[in-house]
Amino acid sequence: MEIQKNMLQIRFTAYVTTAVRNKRVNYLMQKSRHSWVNMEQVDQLESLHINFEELYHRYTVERTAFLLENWRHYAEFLEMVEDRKLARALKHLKERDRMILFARLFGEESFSEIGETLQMSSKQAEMSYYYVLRKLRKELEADKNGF
Amino acid sequence: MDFEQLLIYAKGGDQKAQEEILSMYKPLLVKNSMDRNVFDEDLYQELSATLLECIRKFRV
Repeated sequence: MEIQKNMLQIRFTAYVTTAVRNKRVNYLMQKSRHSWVNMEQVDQLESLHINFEELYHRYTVERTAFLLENWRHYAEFLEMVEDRKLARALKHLKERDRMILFARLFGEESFSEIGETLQMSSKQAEMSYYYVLRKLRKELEADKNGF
Repeated sequence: MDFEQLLIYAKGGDQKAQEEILSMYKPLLVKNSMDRNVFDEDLYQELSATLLECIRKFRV
């Protein structure tokens, strides 16, 4: 049951991510077509002294704290990873492997707990976990060397 | 309340549930509203609408 509920949110997140990306691309294409920039609006924004970067950053910090407590929302957390190499490496993992990773790292679950959830032995969960770490390390190193 | 329940309520038109989901996905929306380090309010509005549409269309 647990996995099914996670899968639902994962499916939904994937659905939303795709829709949002497509919308964003279309919007930005439209925007660049009207390439005359409305300078007035930009000046008004600046005069309001709203620092959106900072607001977003603060929101990220708060949300991260929430997500760490509720690690099952890790799909959302994945979207917040800013290091592109890491994000890409994480996305290359199988969903099950991601789940093991986050269960261990954020949920701090024991391998027998993880094994029970995913219907494998605790030893299998443990081996999968270390396999995932090796795989990530390999992929991140490979990127660094330009391969 | 688990996510499935939340989504079902939101699909039914429950505004609080919709707001809850919106706040869950806000970082995603904000990040995708950035146009070269500038926050685009209009884009953010469009993406919020997109999210609501996803809630409506998604098959539980």
